Amino acid sequence: MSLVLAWVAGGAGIGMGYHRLLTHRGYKVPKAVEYILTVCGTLALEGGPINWVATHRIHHAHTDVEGDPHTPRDGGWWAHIGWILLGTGQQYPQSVLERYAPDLCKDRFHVFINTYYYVPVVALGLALFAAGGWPLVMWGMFLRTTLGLHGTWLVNSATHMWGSRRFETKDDSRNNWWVALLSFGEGWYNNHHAHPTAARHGLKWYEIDFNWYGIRTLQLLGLAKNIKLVKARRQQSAAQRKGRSRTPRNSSSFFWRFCVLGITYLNTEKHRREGTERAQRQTSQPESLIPASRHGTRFRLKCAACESAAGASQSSFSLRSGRAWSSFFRALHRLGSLNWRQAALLVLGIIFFSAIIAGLVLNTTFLVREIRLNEQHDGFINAVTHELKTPLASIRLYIETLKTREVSEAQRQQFYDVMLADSDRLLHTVEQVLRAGEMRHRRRAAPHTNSPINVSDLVRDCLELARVRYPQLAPHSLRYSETLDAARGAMVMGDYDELRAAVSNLIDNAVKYSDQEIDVAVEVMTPDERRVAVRVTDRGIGIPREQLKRIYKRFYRVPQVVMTRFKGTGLGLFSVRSVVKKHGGRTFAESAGVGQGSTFTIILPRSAG
Amino acid sequence: MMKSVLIVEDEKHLADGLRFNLEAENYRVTVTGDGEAALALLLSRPADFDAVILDVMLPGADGFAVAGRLAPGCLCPC
Repeated sequence: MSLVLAWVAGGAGIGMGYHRLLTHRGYKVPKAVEYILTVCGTLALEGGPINWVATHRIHHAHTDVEGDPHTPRDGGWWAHIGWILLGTGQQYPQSVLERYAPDLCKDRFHVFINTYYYVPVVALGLALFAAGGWPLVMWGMFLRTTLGLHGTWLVNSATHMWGSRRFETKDDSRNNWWVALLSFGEGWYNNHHAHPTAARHGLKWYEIDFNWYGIRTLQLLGLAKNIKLVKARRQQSAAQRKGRSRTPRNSSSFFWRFCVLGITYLNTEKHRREGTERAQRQTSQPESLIPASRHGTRFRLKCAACESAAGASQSSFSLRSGRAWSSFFRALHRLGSLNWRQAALLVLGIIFFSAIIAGLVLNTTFLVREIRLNEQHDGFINAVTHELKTPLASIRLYIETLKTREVSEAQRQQFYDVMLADSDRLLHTVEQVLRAGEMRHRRRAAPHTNSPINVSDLVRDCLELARVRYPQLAPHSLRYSETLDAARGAMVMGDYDELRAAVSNLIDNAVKYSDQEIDVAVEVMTPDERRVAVRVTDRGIGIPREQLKRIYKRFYRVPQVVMTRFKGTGLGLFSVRSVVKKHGGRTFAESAGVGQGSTFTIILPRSAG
Repeated sequence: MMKSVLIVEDEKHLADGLRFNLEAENYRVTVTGDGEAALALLLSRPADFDAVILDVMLPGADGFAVAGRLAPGCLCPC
């Protein structure tokens, strides 16, 4: 998706539209197509068409000399992004725009879209958000525009610095294959500067130029006409020259320039020194008593010309030798003297980058959560299937046995009991799943009914049920105690069945997750006027500390130990917490660690007795 | 001589049902509830059992692990 958008904005919009059509008029299309390409171009967030075209025409008029808005001769960093962030960017007075882009300034559509260039991109952003939420906006908007901008900026910076030169041009333009790939074909920059109006930049078959393919498609569709191309003859002659021109320009040229500059520098140094001596001779002889400071001033006046020459050569010298440093210092220097517009741009840029990073982080977080939930879901399906199948298989086995074999009366009774127990287990699982499903839909719902409940009675009721369900338990392994303030009972408002299911669930867990020795203590407490607490403590397998916060989650089951040794759906505690939340209460789980037992506490708001 | 079967099944009801049926068919039946114990039994006294009925979802080592240890390269889908 974002790749398609990247091509629409950076390829069709900027490359085919803004650049080859609007700036250089390399081919002709119907107005409607021109406007569509222009709107595509605004999606790249590179400003309005008139400003873009004017900037680029200025760049062609003054390539790599004074006046070029973005030449790497002012530092690679400057040519890439500095001219936007710290320079004036594409902002020009109206007079300049009219001089460099008179054709577009006459077109009312272009004037309009030039002012409101951000409208299509904002609309696109909203559409993406509507279609796919934040992830799509992050990919299709922030990441895509950032990479697109860097692609275009690389054309300004990298293709004036690195790459080969087919044509002998007066500037530093180069053909750079990787920039061409990143910018859909705009990287064959030497070709382009040699023949600016040619609509085709990649001249050989191996010079991949997607934008040319696009224009060619338009031509085949009958939409693009009068396509300007580099004449084959010139191309060939250029290729013949290639052998000579390429080497010295590419590698030795820096060396030569370095030497020339060095000589110039030394010359001006010498000149300056001579000038100083001359000045000293001139000034000191007639007026030897002049104070040193005045002496200096006069010298400076006289030697202003050669000083400025020296200064200029010095500065360009430093640019050659340490581009990175110079652009760095330039950046620092400029930071202090930003006007509000540049400052706003800088801040916007920073926000933009943070948004992208935040997007990536968010994306990853959501992805991890999604994956984890999926795993839990799988685990849940497995567990539920097992929980449903096992009792069913058992019931079926016993029915078959009863049907086919001779069975004594005592055994028959025993089989009935087993089948009943398995039916209960089946029912329990089904109810649990249904209840959890219901809770998911009515999370914030109120309790089913709202009547006064005595928690002591409720817990005793649960214990009674548990004794029936686990007949093998000795009386002392399931203990009950209560500490109540004398005056009032432990009364709460709510739904009796729901709360009983929750407390029963905790007791069942305590029994289920006990090792050989079952020792479960259930307490009802009234810690203060406003709360009733039910606490279930066991001496079972315990819970690893890092798992405590997750155990109430839907489908969650503590991995390894619990998964294999104890069967379950991972819905029990989720139901407990949902019920308690509905009643305005809270749930807690404590455990000292594996093998140390655990304590589950429910706290409910107390009602007036 | 009575054939001997080892049932490895942690669900007590299922294990009991199986035991009842197999004993009715004159097999000698041993029941164990977890994978590790089954492995220990089978590796220490391989001659004692003629057949094994093995559950997959087991505490300790699961059914596939047990089968893999007993007969490496067997037909089990692990």
